[in-house]
Parts: sequence; structure tokens; C-alpha cells
Amino acid sequence: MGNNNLLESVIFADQFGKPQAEKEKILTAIIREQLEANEKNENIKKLYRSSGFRASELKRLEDATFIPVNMFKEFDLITCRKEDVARVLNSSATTTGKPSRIHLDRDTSVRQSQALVSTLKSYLGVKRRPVLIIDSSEVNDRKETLTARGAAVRGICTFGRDICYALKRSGQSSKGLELDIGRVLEFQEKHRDEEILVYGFTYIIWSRLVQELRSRGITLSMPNMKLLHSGGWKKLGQQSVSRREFAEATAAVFGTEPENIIDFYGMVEQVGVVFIDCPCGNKHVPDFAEVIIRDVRTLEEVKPGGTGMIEVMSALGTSYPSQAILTEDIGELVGVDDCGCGRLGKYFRFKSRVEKAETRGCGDTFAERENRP
Amino acid sequence: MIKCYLLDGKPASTGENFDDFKTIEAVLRHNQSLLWEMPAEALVLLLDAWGKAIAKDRDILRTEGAAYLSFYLKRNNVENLIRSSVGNLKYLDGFTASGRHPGKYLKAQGRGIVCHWIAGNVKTLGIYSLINSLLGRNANLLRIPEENAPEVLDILSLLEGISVECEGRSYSASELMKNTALVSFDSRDETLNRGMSGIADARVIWGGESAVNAVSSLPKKTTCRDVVFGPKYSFAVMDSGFASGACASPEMIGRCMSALAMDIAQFGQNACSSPHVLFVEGAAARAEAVAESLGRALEKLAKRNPNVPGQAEASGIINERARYALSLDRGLKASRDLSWTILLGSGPTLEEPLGGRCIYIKNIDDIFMLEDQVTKRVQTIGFECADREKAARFADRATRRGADRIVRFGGMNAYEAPWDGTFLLNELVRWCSLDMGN
Repeated sequence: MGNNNLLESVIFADQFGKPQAEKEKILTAIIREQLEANEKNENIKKLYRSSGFRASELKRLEDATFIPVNMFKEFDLITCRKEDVARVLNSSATTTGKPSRIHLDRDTSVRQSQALVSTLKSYLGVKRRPVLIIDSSEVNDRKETLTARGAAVRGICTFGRDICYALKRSGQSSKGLELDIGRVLEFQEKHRDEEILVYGFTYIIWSRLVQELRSRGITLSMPNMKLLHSGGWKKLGQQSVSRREFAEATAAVFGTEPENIIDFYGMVEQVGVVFIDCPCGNKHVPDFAEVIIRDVRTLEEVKPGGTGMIEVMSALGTSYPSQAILTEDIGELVGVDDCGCGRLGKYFRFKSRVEKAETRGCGDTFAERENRP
Repeated sequence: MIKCYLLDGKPASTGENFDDFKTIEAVLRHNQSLLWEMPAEALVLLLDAWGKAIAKDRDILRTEGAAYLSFYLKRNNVENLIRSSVGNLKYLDGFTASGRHPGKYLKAQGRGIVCHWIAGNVKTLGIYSLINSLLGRNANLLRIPEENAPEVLDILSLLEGISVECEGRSYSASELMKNTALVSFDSRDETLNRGMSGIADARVIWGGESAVNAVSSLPKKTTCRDVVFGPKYSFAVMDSGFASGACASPEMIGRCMSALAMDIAQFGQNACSSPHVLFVEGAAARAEAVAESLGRALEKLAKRNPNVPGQAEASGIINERARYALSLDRGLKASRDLSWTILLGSGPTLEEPLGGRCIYIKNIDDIFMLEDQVTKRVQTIGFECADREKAARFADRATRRGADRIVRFGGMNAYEAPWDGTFLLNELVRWCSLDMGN
């Protein structure tokens, strides 16, 4: 595509350095071309027609027709040749039982890894650090399909060195994970005074590491670590564990400060695009991506201070429609170009998952109880 | 804790707190006798005056459904309600010859205290339940969701100061207020639900499945009568003669679509009588033409009465819109925002409600294919049919299967007797007989 070089230059440049207006101009040109190419897929073509959207006429990013994230569970949204699909990513399917299927060709996959590194550099510096992954090594097995956890771990690993997996499989179930304390202590001994990167899914860190270490009365000593965690708040919420409690308890078992426990927001449908909390507590949008917070009623973009559904746009995907994906999350657009941390572009905060429908009153489903899904 | 907003004729906008129902029950039992000497005609006149007061109050008319309520309370309508429910107004006043057997007389006595569990989806719902019960000369305890209390209390407070002359005597609507206690409490509080159930001589239960099951299973007096208005589903049908325009002018179809748009929009499309699917008999192109017309009506409606979906509703609509827009064999017509949504498909199957002014339009070959879809969970079928004989045949088959009401577009949410197959007033009286011999 004509804008491939432009896209590469955006990915490899230092992130968060472009003012919003400049960023939007570049990204609109790249995404316009990608949206036109998406019409190779008949379903997407039909979607654009139904909403009266002409990709070639795109002038503002917010005008692009979005695809709700759940549609990746119901349609094979492939925008490259089937034979070029190198890997399929699957989401965890915790909400609906059906996983999202994200088809990646080699180019997309490479761009996603490059983009992740480019973003992390802004927060962690360029030095490669020893990495402790709070998961088992099987999560990153080389195979054609990869879970959301696997994709995230693989991305983080490209950024680090001396990878250590803190957990091991237990029992027959693929979900059975237990702490390999010997391995963790060995890693600690080897890298005690170094700057360490720890990564894991929030619930796994909590259930398999923090609670386990607390119950055994073990406190680690990794004061120079940074822990990035993502996903899995639903289960923690059910256990009434707040974000603050999580950060404090996790910092305590690692022997570090809660500021080093950093939440990042990402999703399997947008691998390579991660939103990491800055010191001001805001999430910033890298230059190869955009976030549109859409008012729940009008679907228009909200002004700073407004809340709505989070749409994540990304120029990384050319094998699936990553350009405009509406999530099931609610966020607040905090501001543009003026965060205290110095990063430019839009910045936002994650607020919650979208509320689930509840039947109220006498209007109801047509299905009898025994026939309900 | 019970919050009581109306007791002994005295409104309390912030709610007076009670730990149990002892005081409330004592007041209601005491005041019930005030209704016994009130002629049915006086009751009708008081309700008529109340309706007029509602119609004059601009603030109250902003409450969804209040305007219709003012019509419902009109004298003619209430008299018709009594006639259709119990046959003759006189049965409410005294022992009246039943007509069939000389010397045999009937009277419809009140049941006592009627306890109403009111669903939250329609703010005026409790008032309809109350009116039927007051006509049966019952005292009433209404449990409503706390968030609806201000509007319901405002409507009830209009009874203050209303009086009418009947048969040379003056009657005051304050006596109706004195026979109405309005409360709210946590719906999960089993002790309070049991307490309320325990004093009921009749229980009127409006709500979804879990609410209905929870209240129905509470202990009650052996003499207590239950009337349940449980979860229901409604849809609309247009026959080919009508949809094709062969028997209806474009203007008439346009008017029908405006009426259906109102049916869709009222009560946030959460009522048991709200339509969720419109079946159009004939080819797909006909359904598309109907969709165009309905889209225009919904757009017009949105301008003067915007749709305000919640998060969950918005998310459901967005997903379903995308599902239809991405599908190669289905269609979508929708506003740019979430004001309204028409989802075009085919086949005689129902769809789960989305709310937020979303309607599925499906073309079907023959309206009688819908028979299998009708179960006892179907309440109202909005129906436009050019052929009266066909309409009667369809109505007979649909109601045989379980549907309760077959009405024209625009009338789907009009509360009327019977409702859910029941004449509520008739359920809330005890038929007593007196045999004087020949």
C-alpha cells in the first residue's frame, strides 16, 4: 500500500511526541487507504454500504465506521488472502463463551511487535530488562492459534531478555497453574539489583502469585522492578479486590513501591496497541493508534471530561479490520496534548465495563424458562 | 425499612419510615368503611374529576403515560370498565337482582386490603391497579420502586381537594386517598415482603419472572386471591392486503406507521405490550417499503421525543446493528445516533427484545405461519389487516395459542380491560348472593 513507509516511520518514531492535529492528519491518510482495502471482505463492504460510509472520503478519524468488538466472535473478518494468515489469535471468551478470532498475516504480526516495543520504550526506556512472566511457558508455545494471554506475553518478551516463567502447569487441565517458587527465587537471586520487568494477567498475578506468597509468608526483594498487568478485573471485582488493594498487596510481596505496579489496557483484537498509566494516572494513545470516546446516546465523540464507549483505532492491521473497533468498555476522555507527564495526543482513563442488560418489569423475553439460552 | 409516601390521606414526599406494616394495616382497615357508603356513581365522578385535574397539570403530564391515564379516568371509560368487568354498576352498590332467577340477588363486595407489587417499567402502572381496586371498594397497599415514588405521589396528590355531588350528597376524593398507602422498600427484603403478603386479602403482582416468583411464593391467607401480571412479549403484524397498499392508501399506511412508532417508543419499549417485531406478509421488497415508512415516523418522533438509551441498551443495539449490517442476507435502517433502529430480516420467528426503539421487520409468506410462535407468553399483537374475515380467523388462532389482545397499531400500550386475559376489577371483588325466594 502507498502509505506503508509512512506507517513504518510512525511506528519507529518516538511515541507521544506529535500534537493531536498533526497526528490525526497523518493517521487519517494511512487509515483511509486501509479502510478502502477492507472492502475486499464482503461483510465489511456490506457494513460500510449499510451505514452510508465511503472510505475514500474519510476526512476525520471519528467518521470511520466502527466494528463492535463482539463481531470478531461471529464473523471471520479477514482482509488479507486466507493463505497469508500466519496465526489466529483467540480471546479468552469469558463473557459470551465464544472467543474472538483475529487473523494475522506476517506483516501485521511484525508491526504489532514493533509497535509494542515502540510504546513500551516511552515508559521503560530502551534498555532490555530481565523479564519475569507470571504465567507458564506453554502460554507462549509456537502454534497457529494463540490466546490473548499468549499474544501479550509474546509481545512483552520481545522487549526483554533472560525470560523466566514464574508458574508451571499443574494437573491435566490447561488452566491449572501453580507457582514455581524455586524458579522465582533463582531469578531474584540472579537479578536482585537490576531493573526488572514483570508481566502477567491481573487475575493470575493475584490468584497464583500474590495470594500464594502471602499464604507462605514469603516477601520477595525486587525493589527496582516494574510490573505491568492487564485484563481480568472481572474476577477480581467479584472477589471485591480494588485496584488500590491489588497494587499495594502486589508491591508488598515484591518488596517494592505501589507506583511500580502499572495497569495497562489492551485487548486481543488490538495487539500492539497498549495504553499504560502515566505518572499522572492517564492512559496515552500512541501515534499509530487513536481512541475515540463515543457518547452512549449520540455516538459522537465526547469533549474532554466526557465519558462514553471506548473505540480503539489502529493502523497496525492489514489482515483484519483493526482500524476502528468499538470496545465494551467505558472510558473518560481526560484531555488532549496537555497531560502533566508531557506526552502529547489524547489521554483518557478506563472507567468500567459496559453495564449488562437487566430485565426490568413485565416486558420480557418470549422464551419460556426451559427454552432459554 | 419501609418508606411510606402516603398514609391516611397524608402525602409525605420524603417518605415516613416504618419498621413493619402494623400501623399501615390498622389505618387501612379503619378507613375501608369510608368506601362502603360511597355509591359507585360517586366513585366514577371522583375518578372523572381526578382525570381532569391530571389533564390540566402540565408538570404531571410530563410523566410518560399520564396523558393516557387522564383519558382512562373519564366517566364513560370507567363506566364501561365496570360494565365489562362486573356487568352492572348496581352490583357494586347493593344486592341487585341477577335477572335469571327471581328472588336471587348478587352483590360485588370488596375483598379487604389489596396489596399491589408494582413493576418499575411503567410509572403509571400502579395507578391502574389502584383504580380497579378502589372501584371494588378495597383498601390498598402499593409497593412501588423508590425511583417512581415522586411521580406516583404527585398524581395521587391531585385527589386532594376534589369533591363531587351525587344523589344530594357531597363525596370527597380524600376518602380514596385514605384507602391508599404508598410504600417502597428493598425488593430483596424477605421479612417486609412476607409482612405485606400476610395482610393481603388479595395480591396483585406485576413484574418480571423473578419478581413474580418471589412474591407468589410468599405465605398468604388461605382466602387471599392472587392476580398475576407476569412477563409478556408483544409483536405486530401487517397483512399483505394492507402492506401492499391495495386496500390502504399511502397516507393510511403512513398514519399506521406513526401509530406503530408510538407503540414502539412508549415506556422505553419496556412494557409487556411493547412491540419488538413487525411481521409483514408478502415479498421482501414490501417489508423494505414498510421499513422506509416506519423509519420516517420514528425519525419524526425522535425529534420531539428523543430516545435516551442506557449503557446496556446502547451496547445491545450497537451489536445488533453491526450483526445485521455485516450479514449479507439481512438489512439495517437506523438513525445516525441511537434514536431508532430497524433490523430487516425474514421468517416467522420472534427476536429477543432490545428496547431503545429497535424493531425487527420480517417478511413472511403467510401471517398464519406465526401461529407456532404464539405462546401464553405473548400478550399483545398489533394488527393491521385489510380483510375482516381474515383478521377474525387470525385473532381466533392467535388467542387460542395464548395471545391476549389483538389491537390496531397505536393501541398496543393502551391499558384496558381485559388485560392479560383478566378483568382485574372482577378479580378484586367477592361475588356474594342473597336468595329471598320467590
